[in-house]
Amino acid sequence: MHTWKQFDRNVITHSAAHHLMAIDTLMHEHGYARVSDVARLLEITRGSVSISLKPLKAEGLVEQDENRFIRLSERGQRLVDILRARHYIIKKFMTAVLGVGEERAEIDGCKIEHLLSAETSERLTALLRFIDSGAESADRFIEEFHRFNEACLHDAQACPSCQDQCLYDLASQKLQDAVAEK
Amino acid sequence: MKQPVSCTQTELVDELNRMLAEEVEASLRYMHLMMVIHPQEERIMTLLNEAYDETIEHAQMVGERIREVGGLPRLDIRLGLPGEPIPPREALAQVLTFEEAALEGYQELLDRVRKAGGDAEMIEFLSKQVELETEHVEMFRNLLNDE
Repeated sequence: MHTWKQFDRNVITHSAAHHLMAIDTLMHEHGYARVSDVARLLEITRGSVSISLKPLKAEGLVEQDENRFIRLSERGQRLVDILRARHYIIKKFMTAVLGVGEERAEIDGCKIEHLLSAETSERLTALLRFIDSGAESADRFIEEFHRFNEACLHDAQACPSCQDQCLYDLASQKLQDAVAEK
Repeated sequence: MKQPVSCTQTELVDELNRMLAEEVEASLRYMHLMMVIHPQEERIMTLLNEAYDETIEHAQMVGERIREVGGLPRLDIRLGLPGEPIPPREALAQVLTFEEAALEGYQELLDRVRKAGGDAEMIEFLSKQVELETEHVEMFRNLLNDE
């Protein structure tokens, strides 16, 4: 199957991840969660929340009591912990290593957290451990990287990383601008 | 100590707009279900069609209420529906799920307006909506049990 089609068959969809994390947030903040609270937090209708919770309940990730209070099952909680950890890893990689701003890192982390494989998460964690180790080579790596990053000559032919076109030019262009371009 | 329940005009307009979104979204779900269940399911098709009409009517009523209390109706819905056939039982289960959500929404708003000492007309309107939604829920629950 093509990789892009696999996104639709992901174990946890983007929407499901947000529903689970919303329940977790509400439980931490108020000690309880109801469909209406999740709807308010995610700024969607109660109907949408109820429909989205159905497969999560069937999967045993979310439980609802007779008073209609909802909570995460043990497996649901584990899943949220994994998602939050991945979000943290991605965000930290983006800010500490790549130098992306907090706000952008938060948004991009949110988009990727549920799609990242365990293998990539593990390697990213290893990289972060190296960065946080305090080793002189780690600090130097970050410094050198940030210095090097600024020095793109935008010459694809002379660049060992580029292909036909300058990768930096393509990577830095916003998709919506590319769509709007005439 | 219990917190006093507030329901300012802005809060009421916000809550009614949420109910407007529930109703319009439900109408789109009904329309979608009518398209994806088998046309031979005549009885369910008729019920879905009636429920669709009622939901549109409810949306218009909620919109009117919003204007009456000095607000403006706004529609904030994000809805993506899959284009796959749905078995009748699954369709009814979906209907029951979003009808129960609407009932819960009206019930919560009614309780809040009552506790905040809201005006009698609004209480009467919301009570009527609770009554109607309760009927919907009961009807679809019975249908689902019969399937």
